[in-house]
Amino acid sequence: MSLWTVMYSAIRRAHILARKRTIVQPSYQHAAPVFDLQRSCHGKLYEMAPANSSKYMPTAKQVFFKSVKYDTSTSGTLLDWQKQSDIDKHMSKDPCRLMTKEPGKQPAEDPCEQFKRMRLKNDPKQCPPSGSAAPDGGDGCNGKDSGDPNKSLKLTCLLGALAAMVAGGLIAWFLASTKNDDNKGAGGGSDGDNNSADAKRGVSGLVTSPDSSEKLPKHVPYLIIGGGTAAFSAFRSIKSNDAKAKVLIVSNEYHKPYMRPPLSKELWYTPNTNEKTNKDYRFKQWAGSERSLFFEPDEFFVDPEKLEESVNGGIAVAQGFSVQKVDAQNHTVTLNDGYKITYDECLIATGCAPKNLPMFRDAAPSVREKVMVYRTPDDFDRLLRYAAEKRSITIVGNGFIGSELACSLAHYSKENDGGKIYQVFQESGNMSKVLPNYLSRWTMAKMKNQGVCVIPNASIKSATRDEESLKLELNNGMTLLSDIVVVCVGCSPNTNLASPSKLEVDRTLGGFVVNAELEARRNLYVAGDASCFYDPLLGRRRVEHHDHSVVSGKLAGENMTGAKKPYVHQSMFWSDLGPEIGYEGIGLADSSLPTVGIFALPSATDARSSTDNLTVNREEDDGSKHTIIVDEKSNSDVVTWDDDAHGEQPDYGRGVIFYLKNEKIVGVLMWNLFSRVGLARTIINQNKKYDDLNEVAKLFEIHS
Amino acid sequence: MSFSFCKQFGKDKVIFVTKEDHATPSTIELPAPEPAEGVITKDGNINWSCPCLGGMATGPCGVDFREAFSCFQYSKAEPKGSDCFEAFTKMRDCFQLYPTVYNKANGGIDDDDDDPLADALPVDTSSEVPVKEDQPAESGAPAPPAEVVPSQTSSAVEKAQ
Repeated sequence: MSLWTVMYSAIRRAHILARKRTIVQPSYQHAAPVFDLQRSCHGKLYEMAPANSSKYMPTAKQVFFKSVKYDTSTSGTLLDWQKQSDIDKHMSKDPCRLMTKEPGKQPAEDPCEQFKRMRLKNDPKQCPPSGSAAPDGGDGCNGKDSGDPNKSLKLTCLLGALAAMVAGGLIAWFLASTKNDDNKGAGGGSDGDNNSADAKRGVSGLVTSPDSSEKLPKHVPYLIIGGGTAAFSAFRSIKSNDAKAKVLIVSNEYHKPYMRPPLSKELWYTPNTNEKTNKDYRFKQWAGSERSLFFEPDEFFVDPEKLEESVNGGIAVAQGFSVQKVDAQNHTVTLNDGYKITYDECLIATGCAPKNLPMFRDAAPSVREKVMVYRTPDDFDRLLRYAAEKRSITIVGNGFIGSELACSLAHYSKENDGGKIYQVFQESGNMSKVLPNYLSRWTMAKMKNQGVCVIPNASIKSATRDEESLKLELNNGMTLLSDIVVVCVGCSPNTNLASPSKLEVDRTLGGFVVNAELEARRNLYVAGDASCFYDPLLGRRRVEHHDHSVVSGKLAGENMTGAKKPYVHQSMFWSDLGPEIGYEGIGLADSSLPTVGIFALPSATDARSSTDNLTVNREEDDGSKHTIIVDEKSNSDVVTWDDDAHGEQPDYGRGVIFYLKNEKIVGVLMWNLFSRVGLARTIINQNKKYDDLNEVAKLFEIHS
Repeated sequence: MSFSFCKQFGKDKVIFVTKEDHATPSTIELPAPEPAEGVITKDGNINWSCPCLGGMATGPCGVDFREAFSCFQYSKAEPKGSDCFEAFTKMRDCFQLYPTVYNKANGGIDDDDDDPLADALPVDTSSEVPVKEDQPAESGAPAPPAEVVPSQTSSAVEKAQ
């Protein structure tokens, strides 16, 4: 075997691998695979890199490639670029014009119609013949849930707590039999949801990995508390800067690190998905390629017991362990069972836990078992089972998770002839914390078009359980029958270990208080949702977004290896609400701030028969090129347009929204505009007053 | 006939503009974006944090990968990299220990079939003579063709962290 054979094979592998995960992408992607239509879309979002970054950065492939100049390679590279630019050209010709729905899919009737008739019965359901007698006698159809370990467990747990506790205790005893301290069993989650969670884990066979904390190293150079996106991003960053770093993640979850955004988005668009066929939670990305929810396969990780002796270091994940406190002065972390691990550098990335509503928390067990929050792959599995059984689902909350989930479920329901999807919230429109009111309401109308039965300005007064489902009485007099309620009302940072660790928690924003370098104490950092950091540009903040976890995790990782860098790179966020709405934002996209939105109006040359009232207004005018200010008072119907009167709405199809504070742009939202986050970041970083925001908007090329 | 116009909803202002309205260039001047830092930094070092490495530097064979890549990058041998046989063999051997990480890993759909390198790389290695490397220190970002150059939406600043 010659040298070159080896080189080729190695380089080739490297190339293939690099190509798989590189950021090199044309700015417009091919047809979005998720929906049955084309539109320009987000760039690659799930790489461990700032989203949209470095599109034209050389990849390992190119470097290897360029360096080894074989006769044919040069043309190969050029060809590669050529192909890409062709795609670019091609795509830019018809970027967003195809954003129309398939006519056949337009729901003809108001999705709320049925509901308005105070629907009293559910879609006919059938008990599978195999339905066995469940512990819950109240639910005649309970057999169909017998496949659901969580649920049947919960029933067991709630109605016959004894059995569960005994079982959980037994397992706990097993686990603890080799330990010095009293171990609460498998888990004990930092979110404090303890007994049932422990029992659940114990009974359903979720055991910690390794089986005892004693098998964990007593000292690690890098210790990360929490096993989410920020934790994994920090690991990447640490290992990039310290080649042989040994990193231990202590996570109270029973999964390897995974990303969460697809749980409310892409995963619902994966055809024929279910727990058995899709164990790795694979999904198709906007950019076209498929990937798993998990950042890396199991093989990537080192066994925690072997971390200490590993020559080249690596990452080990202790699954199912909770941390009780951090002693920053003595560089020691104490687990819930009392086991101590010392560290050189430590990162707290505990994330946040979804909130529930008091009315559900305090409700009867029979009600509670039909109420869930949504944050993990297990929650996805559970909800998917309901959706697959064509159950009717009610989502409470109008934020990112609630709205995305409502759209995804409505889509799933439409594809699979499923049950009704309701979304109930107190505000007057979707995403009202982010979108200005007019856009929030426009978005709500679009979501109704997609089949979500949106019920704004309403809250749930009471929830009672009948044979099969929950009866929800709303404060507006409506009654809703639903098989499951998904509470999506935000989450609160997991800061349980703050007080025993004597760490400061921000009183208004929540989260551990850290400085601009994400440092809580010397050698102790906090990243992700749980980090309340100082942004030198925009002030003290806490951000709950995927990209923020990536960005802050990366920064913390760099600082843990000695970089001493402040937070200067603004993270972004994105969301998709069905086929017609996708957006990306950066900075303080807070709808309580004054905003200026600049939207694209079809030009006269466009062969589009827009008949909205704006067109009418235009024609009434004398045709001069002046800007008309339509005042709210003189044209109040614009503000109070009816949700269902589509013909009278302005079309907020595409545009850019600036959020202002002291007249400076502090946030930018790109509405159906993609690949412009870098520009928006530059503008925010200018920290300047602009006299004419329309000129700023020109930079965004909202018509192209 | 069309022109832009505004609406005001309380604190929120909305402006609708036509393509023609935005046909003239913006009067706003933004600072020139810093060139994106690729896998090779300006001073010729390897940027192991580059997302373009796709996590290779952080995986179970990260150390071997680094050694092979560095050896190659800094090789002064003729032909370049010919002194890196050992490092590459080691890297390859390591890759083979982790097939799910280094073969099908996360991607899955990108396979050898559609790999442009499959066409570009010579099949019969014995007949190929590597051409002399004339730029010992790679300048990092290879200039993309003009069509691909991003407009002012500079992705470069994305890296500025």
